[in-house]
Amino acid sequence: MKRKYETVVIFDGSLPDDAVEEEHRKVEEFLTENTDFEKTDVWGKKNLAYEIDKKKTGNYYLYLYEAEGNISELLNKRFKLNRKILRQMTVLHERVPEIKTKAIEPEPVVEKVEE
Amino acid sequence: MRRRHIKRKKSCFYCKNSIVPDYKMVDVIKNVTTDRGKILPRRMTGICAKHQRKLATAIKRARHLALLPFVSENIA
Repeated sequence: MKRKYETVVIFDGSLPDDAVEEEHRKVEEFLTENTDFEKTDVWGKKNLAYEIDKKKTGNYYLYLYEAEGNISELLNKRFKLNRKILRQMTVLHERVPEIKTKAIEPEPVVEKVEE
Repeated sequence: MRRRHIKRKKSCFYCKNSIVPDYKMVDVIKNVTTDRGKILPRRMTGICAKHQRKLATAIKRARHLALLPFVSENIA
């Protein structure tokens, strides 16, 4: 049974941009072959909240796809061998509605109905 | 005479905006953590139980991805 997953991958921040681009293309290729690949969301280079392998920055990429249950196992095996990937996380994709904080309707004021 | 503490009834932020806490919206989930990086209890934030559980999972996922610190060292 196919379900929608999202995987976030953090590439090493000290790598040059073309090396990161190449790693990203490899991951995308792997996903298009093995899953119904949907889209990639590039979050770009960010400062890590804490050091991972003595690295302070990371390139964040989010992949959205539909696949069988064993996909996270396949991805783990593949990513573990790759030293350029600091961390990755695969979770079920839950449709998250957009934040409507700006459009908070004020509490309806109930007028007193005079009998 | 002990001053009675008037407790303002808080409403759940996520129920009001009908959104679900998610690890990707870091700015929203960050303001329910203390300056040390700990998760605030429900009695302080007024979030309902269902969304508090999802919020805790979202914060732990964000910590795993180094979007949020486990313990923030720089104590202001």
